[in-house]
Amino acid sequence: MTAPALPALLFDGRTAAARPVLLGLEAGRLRVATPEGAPLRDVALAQLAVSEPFEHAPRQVALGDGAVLEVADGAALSALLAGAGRREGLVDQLQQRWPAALAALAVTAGLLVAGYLWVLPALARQVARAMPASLERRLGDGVLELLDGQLLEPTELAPEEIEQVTARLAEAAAQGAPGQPYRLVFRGSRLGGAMNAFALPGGAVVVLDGLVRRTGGDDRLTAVIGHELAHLSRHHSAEALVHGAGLTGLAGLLWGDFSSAAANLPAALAVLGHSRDAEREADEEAVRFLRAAGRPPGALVELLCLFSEEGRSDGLIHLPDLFSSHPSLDERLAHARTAAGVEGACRDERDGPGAQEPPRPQGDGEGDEDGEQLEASPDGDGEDGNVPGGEGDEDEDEEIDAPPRDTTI
Amino acid sequence: MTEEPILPTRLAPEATTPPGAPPGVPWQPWTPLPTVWEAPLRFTGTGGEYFRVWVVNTLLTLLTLGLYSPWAKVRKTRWFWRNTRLDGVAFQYHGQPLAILRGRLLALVLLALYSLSGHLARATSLAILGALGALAPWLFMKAQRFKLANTSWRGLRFSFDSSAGEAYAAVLPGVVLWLGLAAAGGVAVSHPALFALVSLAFALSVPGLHARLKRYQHGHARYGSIAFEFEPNGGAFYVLYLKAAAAMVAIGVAGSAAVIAPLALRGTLRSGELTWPILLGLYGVIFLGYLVVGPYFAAEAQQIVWPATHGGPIRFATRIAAWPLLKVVARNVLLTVLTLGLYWPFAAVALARYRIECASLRSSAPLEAVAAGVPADAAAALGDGAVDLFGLDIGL
Repeated sequence: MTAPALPALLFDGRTAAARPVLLGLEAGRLRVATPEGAPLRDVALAQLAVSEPFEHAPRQVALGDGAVLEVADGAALSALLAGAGRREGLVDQLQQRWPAALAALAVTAGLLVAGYLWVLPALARQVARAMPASLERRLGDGVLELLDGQLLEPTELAPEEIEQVTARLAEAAAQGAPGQPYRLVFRGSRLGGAMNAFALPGGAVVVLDGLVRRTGGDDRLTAVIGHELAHLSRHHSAEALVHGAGLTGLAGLLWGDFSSAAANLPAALAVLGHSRDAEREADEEAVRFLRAAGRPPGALVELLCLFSEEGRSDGLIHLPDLFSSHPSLDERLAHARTAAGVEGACRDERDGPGAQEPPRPQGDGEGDEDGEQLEASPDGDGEDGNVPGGEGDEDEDEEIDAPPRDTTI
Repeated sequence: MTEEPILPTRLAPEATTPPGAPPGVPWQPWTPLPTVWEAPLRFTGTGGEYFRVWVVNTLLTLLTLGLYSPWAKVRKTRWFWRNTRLDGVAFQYHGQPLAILRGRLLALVLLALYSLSGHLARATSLAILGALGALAPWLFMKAQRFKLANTSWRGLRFSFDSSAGEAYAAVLPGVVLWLGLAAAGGVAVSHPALFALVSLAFALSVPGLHARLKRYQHGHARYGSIAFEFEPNGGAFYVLYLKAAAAMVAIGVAGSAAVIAPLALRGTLRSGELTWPILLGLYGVIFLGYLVVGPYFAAEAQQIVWPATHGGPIRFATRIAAWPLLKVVARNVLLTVLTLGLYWPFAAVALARYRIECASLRSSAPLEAVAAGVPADAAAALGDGAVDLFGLDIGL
């Protein structure tokens, strides 16, 4: 090798003083000399700790005894070290080259898409099914507590009404889904007269006042329970919760915000929105439930018609379509019609709001009649009811004089 | 001493203006010491290079289900430190990934304990919370020590010179006060007047505690043999918090009015009803509030903290200002959203460049003479990982 020629600064590790030096390589050892060529240090290559190359940053070479060399020309240092057979690590090489970085980006994107589409849902399903019942129930309680604090308020239904509805639904559930434990939780919504119901992990089915009022507690409400019990028996809510937690964790990995892993609100919101497949499955199951309970399967179609007329914009769980993974109501309606074997468009609910209709006859053998009612309904423009702002609060005036109470049955 | 507005006359202002810094931002006043040495901080990294570092880090972290994240953190920090130069010499980061991994595992255990505490009997859960609170000052001290002891410049390490006793004296009053007020708030929640009183006490305690934490953080830092000091200025923190809160309220009121007024005029609004457009609009207002007030707060806080920090003959200054910082942040948010997150590394670099290049140092004695080394202790990374997970890291 030639005489040391690569300029560097030598710091001794005891003071902040810098000494300009020249570096060279000879017989597997790093030679450090003064600018005049007088030898200063002589260190075996194996003892050196060399920082990785960055485009615009100087590189440091630790000499092993606290002294550090700072080399402005990183490429020249690489060349010098390569001459002694010293190679860069794989990660260093990857992050220096655009093609490698772009390939890494493509693989990362592929992993994320595959993880989102297949791995995370499958994992969530496995975890939800393997979850002990006590843990599932605890999760559900946690979500309910969170919702009670943010979006829900005590029910305004009269105790007798709640008892009636509960008894009617219990009768249907005993036939439609025997052995499936559940408890009804009646709540009001702080978001106006929201009309909805949802199942929480562990067996709670939250029914909002708006839904009881708008359906008048008829078979459409039975269809709701059939749908929600299907979510329960398939652990869809726990699955959605695990899925949400997984998504939050993934986002934390990506953007390095570790503390977000502790935030459970996104996960709670995820519970309120099931996947397309879960909704479809629960709709099919609701039709089976209605048939088994001896109720008209067309009630599910009517229920979806009611949602459609409501315009979905004021519901508790219905995020704007842009953010929602829900299948569209039209899609669900079409599927429900096929499953229930009924045809025809929705009746125009504005001619007779659900809450003012007389309760439908309960019990066996009424299915065909209801189906006919549906078919006989005028081909109105019920699906034009998608007016934002919602009209679900007609009933607000007829408030029942019962003290609001927290009913968990 | 910040009251003495004596500007340097011996140096041309151009010589001290970092590139990219906006003109017209006044310098913080220096103390009238003779200056023999003076330099701005420079940032040399580019977004393109950090993008490559970030992508490789992200891929390896994903492939290892997060296990690689301490290594990723070390690479990222090394890149930022080494691209930061003072007087032509770069900073260096020496953190060991395994130490960070251990710290994170401990933090995970603590987090699990914390989440578990909500499901246990009241006495047990209070005991766990109390134990975590009692641990907090020690973790904070460890985090500071790990960060500084693993940073070097000109071959000399920084360090954090604090005993456990000093850490507890500095941090524990805040922890006790907060836990106490939280408990009082829980009791008072059904009495509006009492609850308002507790909330007020909480709000009044925050700026003072922030100042106290800064004094501890900056007052125990060392570089070689130089011990830094922090001149407390609690009043400035109160003014800052008051202004930030006022700005937040103003944006909140004006924004909410702007969201609700058009709907009310169209007559589609009913009392007591929150529809999705309104809810989204209100979220937008909150986001706007944070977007505007966040940079304002950060810039002003730095303006308070850095001129009040000095060590021996060394003084600091920053010309960071709310408006330019807001422009950087707004641009970062917009482009990161538009590129579905791909702009993120470029955003991190833009922010680091602005913040770093605003800062400068001045010394009345040659640095070589004042900074003799002390051996760096082998600080455990425990505290560092824990603070990372809990997001306790307050400002700079």
